[in-house]
Amino acid sequence: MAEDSDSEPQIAADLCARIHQGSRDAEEQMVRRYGAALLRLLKRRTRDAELALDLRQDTFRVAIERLRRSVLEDPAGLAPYLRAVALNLLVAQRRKDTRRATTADSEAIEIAVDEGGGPFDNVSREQMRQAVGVLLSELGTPRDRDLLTRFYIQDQDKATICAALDVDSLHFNRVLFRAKERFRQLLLQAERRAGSSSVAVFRVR
Amino acid sequence: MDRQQIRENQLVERYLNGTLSPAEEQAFEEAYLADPQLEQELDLAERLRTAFKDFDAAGSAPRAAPPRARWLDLVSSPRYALAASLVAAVALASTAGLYVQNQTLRSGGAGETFAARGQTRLLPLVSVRGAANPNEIAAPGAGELTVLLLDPGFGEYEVYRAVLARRDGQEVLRRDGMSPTYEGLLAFAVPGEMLSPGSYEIRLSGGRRDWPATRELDELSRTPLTVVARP
Repeated sequence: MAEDSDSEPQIAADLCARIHQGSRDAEEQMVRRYGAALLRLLKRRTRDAELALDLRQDTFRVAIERLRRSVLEDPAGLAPYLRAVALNLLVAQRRKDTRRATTADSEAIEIAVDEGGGPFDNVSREQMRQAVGVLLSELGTPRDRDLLTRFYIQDQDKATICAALDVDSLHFNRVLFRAKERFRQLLLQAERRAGSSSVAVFRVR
Repeated sequence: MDRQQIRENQLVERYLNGTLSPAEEQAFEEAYLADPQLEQELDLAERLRTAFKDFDAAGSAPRAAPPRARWLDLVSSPRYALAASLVAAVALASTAGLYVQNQTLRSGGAGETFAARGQTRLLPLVSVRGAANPNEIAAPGAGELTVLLLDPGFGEYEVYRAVLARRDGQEVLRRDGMSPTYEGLLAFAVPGEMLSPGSYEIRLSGGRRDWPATRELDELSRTPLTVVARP
Protein backbone atom coordinates (compact mmCIF):
# COMPACT_ATOMS: atom_id res chain seq x y z
CA MET A 1 0.00 0.00 0.00
CA ALA A 2 1.42 3.38 -0.99
CA GLU A 3 1.81 5.81 1.89
CA ASP A 4 2.54 9.54 1.83
CA SER A 5 5.79 8.99 3.64
CA ASP A 6 7.10 6.84 0.80
CA SER A 7 9.09 8.48 -1.95
CA GLU A 8 7.43 9.25 -5.26
CA PRO A 9 9.17 6.45 -7.24
CA GLN A 10 7.98 3.88 -4.68
CA ILE A 11 4.45 5.25 -4.63
CA ALA A 12 4.24 5.40 -8.42
CA ALA A 13 5.61 1.89 -8.92
CA ASP A 14 3.24 0.54 -6.27
CA LEU A 15 0.22 2.20 -7.89
CA CYS A 16 1.17 0.94 -11.36
CA ALA A 17 1.55 -2.62 -10.11
CA ARG A 18 -1.73 -2.61 -8.19
CA ILE A 19 -3.70 -1.06 -11.05
CA HIS A 20 -2.30 -3.74 -13.35
CA GLN A 21 -3.50 -6.34 -10.86
CA GLY A 22 -6.99 -4.84 -11.07
CA SER A 23 -7.16 -2.79 -7.88
CA ARG A 24 -9.90 -0.14 -8.17
CA ASP A 25 -8.66 1.34 -4.93
CA ALA A 26 -5.26 2.00 -6.53
CA GLU A 27 -6.96 3.72 -9.47
CA GLU A 28 -8.72 6.08 -7.10
CA GLN A 29 -5.49 6.71 -5.25
CA MET A 30 -3.76 7.63 -8.50
CA VAL A 31 -6.52 10.09 -9.35
CA ARG A 32 -6.37 11.65 -5.88
CA ARG A 33 -2.60 11.93 -5.91
CA TYR A 34 -2.11 13.44 -9.36
CA GLY A 35 -5.51 15.00 -10.04
CA ALA A 36 -4.96 18.53 -8.68
CA ALA A 37 -1.55 19.00 -10.27
CA LEU A 38 -2.73 17.62 -13.60
CA LEU A 39 -5.68 19.99 -13.62
CA ARG A 40 -3.40 22.93 -12.84
CA LEU A 41 -1.11 21.97 -15.70
CA LEU A 42 -4.00 21.64 -18.13
CA LYS A 43 -5.67 24.88 -17.03
CA ARG A 44 -2.41 26.68 -17.59
CA ARG A 45 -2.06 25.22 -21.06
CA THR A 46 -5.67 25.59 -22.16
CA ARG A 47 -6.78 28.73 -20.25
CA ASP A 48 -10.14 26.98 -20.24
CA ALA A 49 -11.31 25.39 -16.98
CA GLU A 50 -14.00 23.22 -18.60
CA LEU A 51 -11.70 21.91 -21.29
CA ALA A 52 -9.01 21.25 -18.67
CA LEU A 53 -11.47 19.17 -16.64
CA ASP A 54 -12.43 17.15 -19.71
CA LEU A 55 -8.83 16.57 -20.69
CA ARG A 56 -7.93 15.48 -17.18
CA GLN A 57 -10.75 12.97 -17.18
CA ASP A 58 -9.57 11.66 -20.55
CA THR A 59 -5.98 11.50 -19.32
CA PHE A 60 -6.92 9.27 -16.42
CA ARG A 61 -9.12 7.17 -18.66
CA VAL A 62 -6.26 6.56 -21.09
CA ALA A 63 -3.78 5.92 -18.28
CA ILE A 64 -6.02 3.46 -16.45
CA GLU A 65 -6.75 1.56 -19.64
CA ARG A 66 -3.06 1.32 -20.37
CA LEU A 67 -2.09 0.30 -16.84
CA ARG A 68 -4.76 -2.36 -16.66
CA ARG A 69 -3.52 -3.77 -19.96
CA SER A 70 0.24 -3.62 -19.40
CA VAL A 71 2.84 -2.22 -17.04
CA LEU A 72 4.81 0.91 -17.83
CA GLU A 73 8.38 0.55 -18.98
CA ASP A 74 9.35 2.77 -16.06
CA PRO A 75 6.62 2.43 -13.41
CA ALA A 76 8.38 4.94 -11.17
CA GLY A 77 7.87 7.54 -13.89
CA LEU A 78 4.10 7.64 -13.60
CA ALA A 79 4.02 11.46 -13.27
CA PRO A 80 5.96 12.10 -16.51
CA TYR A 81 3.76 9.50 -18.22
CA LEU A 82 0.55 11.25 -17.12
CA ARG A 83 1.94 14.59 -18.27
CA ALA A 84 2.80 13.15 -21.67
CA VAL A 85 -0.67 11.65 -22.05
CA ALA A 86 -2.31 14.94 -21.05
CA LEU A 87 -0.24 16.97 -23.50
CA ASN A 88 -0.86 14.47 -26.31
CA LEU A 89 -4.58 14.71 -25.72
CA LEU A 90 -4.33 18.49 -25.71
CA VAL A 91 -2.47 18.49 -29.03
CA ALA A 92 -5.06 16.13 -30.47
CA GLN A 93 -7.84 18.35 -29.23
CA ARG A 94 -6.20 21.38 -30.74
CA ARG A 95 -6.00 19.63 -34.06
CA LYS A 96 -9.69 19.07 -33.65
CA ASP A 97 -9.15 15.35 -33.79
CA THR A 98 -11.75 13.17 -32.29
CA ARG A 99 -10.91 12.43 -28.74
CA ARG A 100 -9.48 9.04 -28.18
CA ALA A 101 -12.26 6.49 -28.06
CA THR A 102 -12.13 4.03 -25.27
CA THR A 103 -13.52 0.57 -24.97
CA ALA A 104 -12.96 0.06 -21.31
CA ASP A 105 -15.62 -0.43 -18.71
CA SER A 106 -16.83 3.15 -18.35
CA GLU A 107 -18.41 2.57 -14.95
CA ALA A 108 -15.07 1.57 -13.54
CA ILE A 109 -13.12 4.40 -15.11
CA GLU A 110 -15.49 7.27 -14.39
CA ILE A 111 -13.76 8.17 -11.18
CA ALA A 112 -14.96 11.34 -9.56
CA VAL A 113 -12.05 13.60 -8.71
CA ASP A 114 -12.39 15.18 -5.31
CA GLU A 115 -12.19 18.95 -5.88
CA GLY A 116 -12.40 19.94 -2.25
CA GLY A 117 -8.80 19.34 -1.32
CA GLY A 118 -7.33 22.84 -1.67
CA PRO A 119 -6.21 24.35 1.65
CA PHE A 120 -7.39 27.88 0.76
CA ASP A 121 -10.48 27.16 -1.30
CA ASN A 122 -12.72 29.25 0.97
CA VAL A 123 -10.50 32.33 0.95
CA SER A 124 -11.83 35.09 -1.29
CA ARG A 125 -9.76 37.30 -3.56
CA GLU A 126 -10.57 40.27 -1.36
CA GLN A 127 -9.22 38.41 1.68
CA MET A 128 -6.05 37.58 -0.23
CA ARG A 129 -5.68 41.24 -1.21
CA GLN A 130 -6.06 42.24 2.44
CA ALA A 131 -3.45 39.67 3.40
CA VAL A 132 -0.96 41.33 1.06
CA GLY A 133 -1.68 44.65 2.76
CA VAL A 134 -0.93 43.13 6.15
CA LEU A 135 2.16 41.40 4.82
CA LEU A 136 3.58 44.63 3.40
CA SER A 137 2.78 46.58 6.56
CA GLU A 138 4.71 44.06 8.66
CA LEU A 139 7.90 44.16 6.61
CA GLY A 140 10.84 45.59 8.49
CA THR A 141 12.35 47.80 5.82
CA PRO A 142 11.10 49.82 2.84
CA ARG A 143 13.70 47.97 0.79
CA ASP A 144 11.99 44.62 1.37
CA ARG A 145 8.64 46.15 0.41
CA ASP A 146 10.25 47.50 -2.72
CA LEU A 147 11.74 44.07 -3.44
CA LEU A 148 8.36 42.31 -3.27
CA THR A 149 6.61 45.03 -5.25
CA ARG A 150 9.16 44.84 -8.02
CA PHE A 151 8.97 41.06 -8.10
CA TYR A 152 5.24 40.46 -7.87
CA ILE A 153 3.77 43.60 -9.42
CA GLN A 154 6.38 44.82 -11.87
CA ASP A 155 7.50 41.28 -12.80
CA GLN A 156 11.18 42.21 -12.59
CA ASP A 157 13.58 39.30 -12.42
CA LYS A 158 15.81 38.49 -9.47
CA ALA A 159 19.05 39.73 -11.04
CA THR A 160 17.51 43.10 -11.91
CA ILE A 161 16.07 43.54 -8.43
CA CYS A 162 19.26 42.51 -6.64
CA ALA A 163 21.26 44.99 -8.73
CA ALA A 164 18.78 47.82 -8.26
CA LEU A 165 18.43 47.39 -4.49
CA ASP A 166 22.00 46.25 -3.87
CA VAL A 167 20.94 43.08 -2.09
CA ASP A 168 22.48 39.67 -2.50
CA SER A 169 20.81 36.52 -3.72
CA LEU A 170 20.45 35.02 -0.24
CA HIS A 171 18.70 38.07 1.11
CA PHE A 172 16.35 38.08 -1.86
CA ASN A 173 15.49 34.41 -1.27
CA ARG A 174 14.89 35.00 2.42
CA VAL A 175 12.52 37.91 1.86
CA LEU A 176 10.57 35.91 -0.70
CA PHE A 177 10.43 32.81 1.48
CA ARG A 178 9.23 34.74 4.52
CA ALA A 179 6.65 36.62 2.50
CA LYS A 180 5.18 33.33 1.31
CA GLU A 181 5.21 31.83 4.77
CA ARG A 182 3.45 34.86 6.26
CA PHE A 183 0.96 34.92 3.41
CA ARG A 184 0.24 31.23 4.06
CA GLN A 185 -0.39 31.95 7.77
CA LEU A 186 -2.73 34.82 6.93
CA LEU A 187 -4.67 32.66 4.47
CA LEU A 188 -4.94 29.89 7.04
CA GLN A 189 -6.37 32.41 9.52
CA ALA A 190 -8.84 33.60 6.91
CA GLU A 191 -9.74 30.02 6.03
CA ARG A 192 -10.46 29.23 9.68
CA ARG A 193 -12.57 32.33 10.06
CA ALA A 194 -14.49 31.52 6.90
CA GLY A 195 -16.16 28.73 8.83
CA SER A 196 -17.73 31.08 11.36
CA SER A 197 -18.04 34.32 9.43
CA SER A 198 -18.20 35.44 5.85
CA VAL A 199 -15.83 38.35 6.50
CA ALA A 200 -12.25 37.86 7.63
CA VAL A 201 -10.58 40.58 9.65
CA PHE A 202 -6.82 40.57 9.73
CA ARG A 203 -5.06 41.75 12.81
CA VAL A 204 -2.15 44.08 12.10
CA ARG A 205 0.72 43.45 14.46
CA MET B 1 15.06 18.91 -9.63
CA ASP B 2 15.11 19.29 -5.86
CA ARG B 3 13.44 21.80 -3.54
CA GLN B 4 16.63 23.78 -2.96
CA GLN B 5 17.17 24.23 -6.68
CA ILE B 6 13.53 25.22 -7.16
CA ARG B 7 13.66 27.84 -4.40
CA GLU B 8 17.04 29.30 -5.22
CA ASN B 9 16.14 29.77 -8.85
CA GLN B 10 12.56 30.98 -8.26
CA LEU B 11 11.32 28.25 -10.56
CA VAL B 12 7.81 28.47 -9.10
CA GLU B 13 7.49 32.16 -9.92
CA ARG B 14 9.26 31.83 -13.25
CA TYR B 15 6.88 29.04 -14.20
CA LEU B 16 3.94 31.28 -13.32
CA ASN B 17 5.46 34.11 -15.35
CA GLY B 18 6.06 31.75 -18.28
CA THR B 19 9.78 32.47 -18.41
CA LEU B 20 11.15 28.93 -18.05
CA SER B 21 12.81 27.29 -21.04
CA PRO B 22 10.86 24.33 -22.52
CA ALA B 23 13.25 21.87 -20.87
CA GLU B 24 12.96 23.60 -17.49
CA GLU B 25 9.20 23.76 -17.84
CA GLN B 26 8.97 20.04 -18.54
CA ALA B 27 11.20 19.18 -15.60
CA PHE B 28 9.27 21.49 -13.30
CA GLU B 29 5.88 20.14 -14.37
CA GLU B 30 7.02 16.58 -13.83
CA ALA B 31 8.37 17.59 -10.44
CA TYR B 32 5.12 19.12 -9.18
CA LEU B 33 2.99 16.33 -10.64
CA ALA B 34 5.01 13.93 -8.53
CA ASP B 35 5.09 16.09 -5.42
CA PRO B 36 1.80 17.21 -3.84
CA GLN B 37 3.67 19.53 -1.47
CA LEU B 38 5.32 21.33 -4.36
CA GLU B 39 1.94 21.60 -6.05
CA GLN B 40 0.62 23.35 -2.93
CA GLU B 41 3.63 25.66 -2.97
CA LEU B 42 2.78 26.52 -6.55
CA ASP B 43 -0.83 27.15 -5.58
CA LEU B 44 0.26 29.51 -2.80
CA ALA B 45 2.67 31.39 -5.09
CA GLU B 46 -0.06 31.82 -7.67
CA ARG B 47 -2.45 33.20 -5.06
CA LEU B 48 0.23 35.56 -3.75
CA ARG B 49 0.96 36.84 -7.24
CA THR B 50 -2.73 37.41 -7.94
CA ALA B 51 -3.20 39.11 -4.58
CA PHE B 52 -0.29 41.49 -5.24
CA LYS B 53 -1.75 42.45 -8.61
CA ASP B 54 -5.15 43.02 -7.00
CA PHE B 55 -3.55 45.04 -4.23
CA ASP B 56 -1.77 47.21 -6.76
CA ALA B 57 -4.92 47.66 -8.82
CA ALA B 58 -6.92 48.69 -5.77
CA GLY B 59 -4.22 51.07 -4.59
CA SER B 60 -3.90 52.81 -7.92
CA ALA B 61 -7.61 53.11 -8.45
CA PRO B 62 -8.95 56.63 -8.01
CA ARG B 63 -10.54 57.06 -4.60
CA ALA B 64 -13.51 59.20 -3.85
CA ALA B 65 -12.46 62.44 -2.19
CA PRO B 66 -14.28 63.46 1.00
CA PRO B 67 -16.83 66.22 0.52
CA ARG B 68 -14.84 69.41 0.36
CA ALA B 69 -17.35 71.59 2.13
CA ARG B 70 -17.39 69.40 5.28
CA TRP B 71 -13.61 69.25 5.41
CA LEU B 72 -13.33 73.01 5.13
CA ASP B 73 -16.00 73.45 7.76
CA LEU B 74 -14.07 71.24 10.18
CA VAL B 75 -10.63 72.86 9.87
CA SER B 76 -11.98 76.35 9.96
CA SER B 77 -14.02 75.84 13.10
CA PRO B 78 -12.82 77.51 16.37
CA ARG B 79 -12.97 74.18 18.23
CA TYR B 80 -10.58 72.60 15.67
CA ALA B 81 -8.18 75.53 16.02
CA LEU B 82 -8.20 75.20 19.81
CA ALA B 83 -7.57 71.43 19.71
CA ALA B 84 -4.77 71.82 17.15
CA SER B 85 -3.09 74.46 19.31
CA LEU B 86 -3.18 72.19 22.35
CA VAL B 87 -1.70 69.26 20.40
CA ALA B 88 1.06 71.50 19.04
CA ALA B 89 1.90 72.76 22.55
CA VAL B 90 2.13 69.24 23.96
CA ALA B 91 4.28 68.07 21.05
CA LEU B 92 6.62 71.05 21.47
CA ALA B 93 7.04 70.37 25.18
CA SER B 94 7.83 66.70 24.73
CA THR B 95 10.26 67.44 21.87
CA ALA B 96 12.09 69.92 24.09
CA GLY B 97 12.32 67.29 26.82
CA LEU B 98 13.76 64.73 24.41
CA TYR B 99 16.27 67.29 23.13
CA VAL B 100 17.51 68.01 26.64
CA GLN B 101 17.76 64.28 27.40
CA ASN B 102 19.68 63.69 24.18
CA GLN B 103 22.15 66.46 24.96
CA THR B 104 22.71 64.97 28.43
CA LEU B 105 23.46 61.56 26.98
CA ARG B 106 25.87 63.02 24.42
CA SER B 107 27.85 64.99 26.95
CA GLY B 108 27.83 62.35 29.69
CA GLY B 109 28.86 59.38 27.50
CA ALA B 110 26.14 56.99 26.54
CA GLY B 111 28.34 53.93 26.99
CA GLU B 112 28.79 54.54 30.69
CA THR B 113 25.12 55.26 31.15
CA PHE B 114 24.10 52.04 29.40
CA ALA B 115 26.77 50.09 31.22
CA ALA B 116 25.61 51.34 34.56
CA ARG B 117 22.06 50.35 33.77
CA GLY B 118 23.01 46.98 32.26
CA GLN B 119 21.35 47.83 28.93
CA THR B 120 20.67 45.32 26.19
CA ARG B 121 20.93 46.28 22.56
CA LEU B 122 19.28 44.31 19.74
CA LEU B 123 21.12 44.36 16.45
CA PRO B 124 19.61 42.66 13.38
CA LEU B 125 22.47 41.80 11.05
CA VAL B 126 21.83 42.26 7.36
CA SER B 127 23.46 40.59 4.44
CA VAL B 128 24.07 43.17 1.71
CA ARG B 129 26.21 42.89 -1.36
CA GLY B 130 28.78 45.57 -2.10
CA ALA B 131 31.79 47.12 -0.53
CA ALA B 132 30.04 48.93 2.29
CA ASN B 133 29.51 46.93 5.45
CA PRO B 134 26.06 47.75 6.82
CA ASN B 135 26.76 46.02 10.12
CA GLU B 136 28.75 48.71 11.84
CA ILE B 137 28.14 49.55 15.48
CA ALA B 138 29.69 51.69 18.14
CA ALA B 139 31.56 49.69 20.77
CA PRO B 140 29.23 48.74 23.61
CA GLY B 141 29.94 49.52 27.23
CA ALA B 142 31.44 46.80 29.43
CA GLY B 143 28.14 45.95 31.11
CA GLU B 144 26.05 46.20 27.99
CA LEU B 145 24.71 43.09 26.31
CA THR B 146 24.57 43.15 22.51
CA VAL B 147 22.14 40.65 21.02
CA LEU B 148 22.99 39.97 17.40
CA LEU B 149 19.92 38.78 15.50
CA LEU B 150 21.01 36.30 12.86
CA ASP B 151 18.90 35.13 9.97
CA PRO B 152 19.04 31.32 9.73
CA GLY B 153 17.74 31.30 6.15
CA PHE B 154 15.28 28.64 5.13
CA GLY B 155 17.26 25.41 5.23
CA GLU B 156 15.63 22.57 7.08
CA TYR B 157 17.85 22.76 10.14
CA GLU B 158 16.87 22.36 13.78
CA VAL B 159 19.93 23.54 15.70
CA TYR B 160 22.45 26.22 14.94
CA ARG B 161 25.92 27.25 16.01
CA ALA B 162 27.07 30.87 15.96
CA VAL B 163 30.72 31.80 16.23
CA LEU B 164 31.97 35.34 16.69
CA ALA B 165 35.54 35.61 15.44
CA ARG B 166 37.94 38.37 14.68
CA ARG B 167 38.77 38.76 11.02
CA ASP B 168 42.23 37.33 11.68
CA GLY B 169 40.50 34.07 12.67
CA GLN B 170 40.74 34.36 16.47
CA GLU B 171 37.53 32.98 17.95
CA VAL B 172 35.88 35.27 20.51
CA LEU B 173 32.64 33.52 21.40
CA ARG B 174 30.80 30.35 20.37
CA ARG B 175 27.24 29.25 21.09
CA ASP B 176 25.89 25.81 20.24
CA GLY B 177 22.39 24.39 20.21
CA MET B 178 20.67 27.65 19.20
CA SER B 179 17.20 27.66 17.70
CA PRO B 180 15.19 30.47 16.09
CA THR B 181 13.09 32.51 18.47
CA TYR B 182 12.14 36.14 17.88
CA GLU B 183 10.69 36.63 14.37
CA GLY B 184 12.37 33.41 13.26
CA LEU B 185 15.81 34.86 13.98
CA LEU B 186 18.63 33.50 16.12
CA ALA B 187 19.51 35.63 19.12
CA PHE B 188 23.28 35.58 19.71
CA ALA B 189 24.02 37.46 22.94
CA VAL B 190 27.51 38.93 23.23
CA PRO B 191 28.77 40.62 26.43
CA GLY B 192 29.98 44.16 25.80
CA GLU B 193 33.56 43.50 26.89
CA MET B 194 33.94 41.00 24.03
CA LEU B 195 33.13 43.56 21.37
CA SER B 196 36.13 45.84 21.42
CA PRO B 197 36.66 47.97 18.29
CA GLY B 198 37.75 45.93 15.28
CA SER B 199 36.54 43.78 12.43
CA TYR B 200 34.63 40.60 13.16
CA GLU B 201 32.82 37.87 11.36
CA ILE B 202 29.82 35.86 12.56
CA ARG B 203 29.87 32.34 11.22
CA LEU B 204 26.59 30.50 11.30
CA SER B 205 26.20 26.75 10.84
CA GLY B 206 23.20 24.48 11.09
CA GLY B 207 22.39 20.85 11.68
CA ARG B 208 19.66 18.43 12.66
CA ARG B 209 19.17 16.64 15.95
CA ASP B 210 19.16 13.22 14.32
CA TRP B 211 22.55 13.72 12.72
CA PRO B 212 25.33 11.50 14.09
CA ALA B 213 27.64 13.26 16.54
CA THR B 214 30.55 12.84 14.17
CA ARG B 215 28.86 14.79 11.38
CA GLU B 216 29.99 18.39 10.90
CA LEU B 217 27.35 21.12 10.80
CA ASP B 218 26.67 22.77 7.44
CA GLU B 219 28.10 26.26 7.15
CA LEU B 220 25.27 28.66 6.32
CA SER B 221 26.69 32.16 6.29
CA ARG B 222 29.54 34.47 7.22
CA THR B 223 28.41 37.96 8.14
CA PRO B 224 30.88 40.79 8.67
CA LEU B 225 30.55 43.07 11.69
CA THR B 226 32.58 46.18 12.39
CA VAL B 227 32.83 47.67 15.85
CA VAL B 228 34.07 51.24 15.96
CA ALA B 229 35.23 53.16 18.99
CA ARG B 230 32.70 55.46 20.60
CA PRO B 231 33.30 59.10 19.68
